[in-house]
Amino acid sequence: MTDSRNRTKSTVRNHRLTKLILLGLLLGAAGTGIALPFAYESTTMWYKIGLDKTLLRAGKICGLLTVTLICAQSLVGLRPKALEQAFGAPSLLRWHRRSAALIVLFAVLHALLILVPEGLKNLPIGYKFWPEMIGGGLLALLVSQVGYSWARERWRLAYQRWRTIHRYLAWCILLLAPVHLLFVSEMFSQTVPRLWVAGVVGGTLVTHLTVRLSRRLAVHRR
Amino acid sequence: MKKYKIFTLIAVIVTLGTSSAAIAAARQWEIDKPHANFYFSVDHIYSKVRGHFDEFSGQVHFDPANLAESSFVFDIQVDSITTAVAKRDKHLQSADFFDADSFPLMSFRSTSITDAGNGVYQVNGTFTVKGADHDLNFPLTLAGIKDHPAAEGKEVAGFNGSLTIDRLQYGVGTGKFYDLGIVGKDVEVFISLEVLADK
Repeated sequence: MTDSRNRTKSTVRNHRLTKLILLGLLLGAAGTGIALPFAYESTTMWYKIGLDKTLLRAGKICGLLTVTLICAQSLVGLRPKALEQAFGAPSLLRWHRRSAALIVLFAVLHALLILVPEGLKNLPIGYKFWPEMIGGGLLALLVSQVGYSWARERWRLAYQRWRTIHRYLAWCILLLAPVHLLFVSEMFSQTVPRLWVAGVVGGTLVTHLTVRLSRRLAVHRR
Repeated sequence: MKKYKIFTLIAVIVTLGTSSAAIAAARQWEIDKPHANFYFSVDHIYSKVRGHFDEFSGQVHFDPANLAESSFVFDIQVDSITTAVAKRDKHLQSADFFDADSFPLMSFRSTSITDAGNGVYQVNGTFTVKGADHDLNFPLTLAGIKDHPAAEGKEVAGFNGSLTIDRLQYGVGTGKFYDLGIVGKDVEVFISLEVLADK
């Protein structure tokens, strides 16, 4: 009885620790992301003055928060055992839904705040603005992803088809986000911002591979 | 019979009028776009940033023997500005400089051309920037007129000219980047044109 109670206590402690570590990682990634536009100003920022500069910087912060949340979202969607044990499936699902809305909100804010200082009619369209156009595509994918999920629930659309499309879109978003990030701003030609991308996006991809591989091995062993 | 005479008279007048107009108009030349451009250079702190405009059109009527009927008309698309840095180009198109969305074209229309000697022609005209007209005079050197070495049946003429303009007088920028010592106000403009005409 005491052994069982001790085991339960230890499990609860472990779950709390996991929670703390995971939340710490998320806050660390988000905090570093917020700090990057201050510590590593791109030359574009040099030529913005007053309110324009503030808007541009705020836009960059929103963009970096969007990427952080996209990575966290994809890990929540992956539902690794540790995450599920620490938070519980229902609360992960709640997080997934709320976070989706937050991601779209930050992405829209990012686009607006970046575009407003240059003029909303002066859009970066054309071959030489391909990184910006990838960003536009990403925004469209994010809105589609959330819109389709909302529509599935509202009109009870076929689950299997939704799930397949949802997964493919999620992968597209996860893979296109670092491309947009690395090429859209000179900030990412510097080491620390690049390390941030490698840590956040690379870490997410490595976790995906590890969890999927271990799941396959477990099935194979059975 | 009387009717026929009147028609003949009208036909003669029209023919004479058309041919005299053709004689009066200076020779029309077509801009050879791959070999023509409007380049500029502006100070950036210590260095010089160079650029040009990819999209422009124009009409050139030029005859050294008939300057009164010669003219230069150029329309430059502001959003085609190129300085080899995409973000800088976008900034130059913004309201901080050209405001390309509100004023997509810059144009020059000559009003008179005078011979300044030694193959130099003084071109006087109206330069419209951001919707405002400004008088502009600049020298254009006729590099020559000859048979085109590569295109049979065509003649080529070449013009080169340069001038320096104060961009702030043309409303290109409010002066904040000049006051900060970042972007100069004097812009060196270099016009280089090859124009073609059938022989």
